Amino acid sequence: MRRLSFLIRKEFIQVFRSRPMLGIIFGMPLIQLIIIGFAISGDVEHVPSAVIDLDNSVKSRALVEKLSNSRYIDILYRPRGSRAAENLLGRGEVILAVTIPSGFERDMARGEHPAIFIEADAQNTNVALTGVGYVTRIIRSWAVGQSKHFSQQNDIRIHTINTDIATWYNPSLKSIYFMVPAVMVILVTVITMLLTALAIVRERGENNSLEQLMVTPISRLELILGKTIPFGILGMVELTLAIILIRVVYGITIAGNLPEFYLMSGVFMISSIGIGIFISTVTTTQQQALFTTWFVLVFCLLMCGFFLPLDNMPRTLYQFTYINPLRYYMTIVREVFIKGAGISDLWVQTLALLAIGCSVLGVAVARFRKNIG
Amino acid sequence: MLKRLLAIIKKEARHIFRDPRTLSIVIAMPIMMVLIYGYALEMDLTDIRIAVIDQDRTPDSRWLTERFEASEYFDVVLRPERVSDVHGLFIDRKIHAALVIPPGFARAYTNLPSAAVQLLVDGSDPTYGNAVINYTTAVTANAVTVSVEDVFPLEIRNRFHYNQSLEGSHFVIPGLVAVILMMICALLTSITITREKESGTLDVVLVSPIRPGEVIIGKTIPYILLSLVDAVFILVFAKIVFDIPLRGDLTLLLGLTILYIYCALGIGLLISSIAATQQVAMMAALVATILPSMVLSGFIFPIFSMPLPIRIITHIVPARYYMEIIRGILLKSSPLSMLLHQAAALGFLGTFYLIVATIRFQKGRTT
Repeated sequence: MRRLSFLIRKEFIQVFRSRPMLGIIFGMPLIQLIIIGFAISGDVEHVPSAVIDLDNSVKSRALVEKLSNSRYIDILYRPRGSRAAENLLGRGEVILAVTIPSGFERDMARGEHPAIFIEADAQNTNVALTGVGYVTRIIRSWAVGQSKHFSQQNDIRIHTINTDIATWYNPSLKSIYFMVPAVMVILVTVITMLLTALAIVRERGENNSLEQLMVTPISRLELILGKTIPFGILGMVELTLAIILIRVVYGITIAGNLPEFYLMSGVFMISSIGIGIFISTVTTTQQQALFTTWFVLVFCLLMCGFFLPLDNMPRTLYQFTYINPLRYYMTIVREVFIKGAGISDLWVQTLALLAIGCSVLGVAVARFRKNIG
Repeated sequence: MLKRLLAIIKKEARHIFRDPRTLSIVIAMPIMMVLIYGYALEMDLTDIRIAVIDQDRTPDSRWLTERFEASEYFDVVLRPERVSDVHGLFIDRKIHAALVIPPGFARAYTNLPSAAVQLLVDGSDPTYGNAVINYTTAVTANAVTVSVEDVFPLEIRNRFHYNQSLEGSHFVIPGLVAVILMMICALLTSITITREKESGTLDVVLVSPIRPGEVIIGKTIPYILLSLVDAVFILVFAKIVFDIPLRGDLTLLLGLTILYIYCALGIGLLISSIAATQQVAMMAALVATILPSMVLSGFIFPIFSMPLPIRIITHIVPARYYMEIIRGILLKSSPLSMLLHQAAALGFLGTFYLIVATIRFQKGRTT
């Protein structure tokens, strides 16, 4: 026990002795949560757009007015002439171009269904789809108003269905609640997985101090614990830092139970530290360890539902997500932060994490022994 | 001079090939990213799981339910009895939304101008939340136009330019080239120079007759070649697997890619002039190259939607300009005249990073 506490202390001294390392451990959460958080959690808004009103009538101007009042699109240009849209799109000045045809008002009064033309730069498919969706929604709601007017004039009874929408947990549908807690997952994973791998590789491969440790009375279990506990503690510190920052910077608080969240995070760290130790047993230099960790990390990040919805994946790819600890932890973090779910709702995820963690750690420790013995 | 340069290049290339694991990751990582992104980035959400709570139980309410079932977007998976069940279903992520058809719906629908239904949306995932609302509005609005078709006064037509079929892979793979080039160039150069610094061999090389400039050029050329090979490899692979278009002037693309690599090397050298150990260089490279080129470049998240301070920061991210260049050339066949601004920005940024790195290196050597 005393030996173990010495080992843990040694690891902390090593981390805290290096000023740049301290900067990384405490600076990275700031940079990631603030810059990355703000950059990726902006919803698609202020889409640069152009409106080409070829009719210039009372009705068309009313529609343009309606479009320009939306915060989702910014009307930057109102050119005349039908070629203007293609030109602006080609130069990348706008993403959306809405053309109202000439004779729009007249045709609408005659019931001839004039066609409004929405063109989009679809290089970024997500932006294009969302933008066209916004414009369609605005035009539709305007048109429904017009049709009510029209039907009253012509004495036609219409029956509409009004959808009364109630959005739970995140009423304004802001991405920020979805994305910012997810950044925290990356942070905790990078710190625990990468630092563990690098710390062991440095001792083992590069300056061989591990062999010296092995000939001391310290047992292997103590050695492993001495390597994992400090990074587990660092991970928890990082987690706490992130929770505070998320609260201060974004005003987002955890909806769920805090001790339960720490417990589930601890279970997750078994896996991430286990992977870190495993990587250190298959690499010999820090550079290799870094690249291998990155490879694993990128794979895990792409396959955890961080920015690609899992439900949309092809089946074969989807099956790989079952062995990805980040997938379960991502669900846990989001559910706890947004919906206030507890461990009783998330026991499947927690058990999955425990199973993955124990097997990875087991394999890692077994390899660790073989490598040294 | 050329002989000395060649010797360094050969030595560095040997370093690369002696470490097959790093080399294979450099090759395998792009393939993995292309495959996962290319297949998984399907933005058009289908199979949205909804529950229908039909409290009316009339032919009209069943008709409305059928319209949702017939829609390609929705899967009606459950028909719970009570509205109070919905929270539990949301917590278990069984459904994305629930449609409540209140009692008296049929009566209201036939007798009044409008009848109301309620849609309960799980807002925790805004992408799904927005999609549910958009699609539901479309389904209920169509229910109107069917009953009185002539009343809806206009028609809306769409056209998507440059990527008509809205293929996610066409949008994401050119962007990946930008990310991967930055990763390999900046990261590998910064690590290799820091490694020599850490082990003290850099000093040995510097006191030899080799000039510092030659050391830098010699050490970077193998990585330039490696990353160019990687870029071509990604594009050819993506062409075969995803049939991404390779329109436009490919020699222009090559020229501007070299300009981008120049920028990436500048950043790599800058990092290695600051960092004393490999560990610090790796972390700095992560923060300074990979994350910005993924999130501050318009790769997936559009720059125009970011808050102003972040938009200002994006101007010093080279990937931002290269993203426009590679997408412009491959998808829009943009000529050089349309990309002058981006090319100038890359040239300026690269020179700037290189000058700062040189100043820092010289300061480090005199002290």
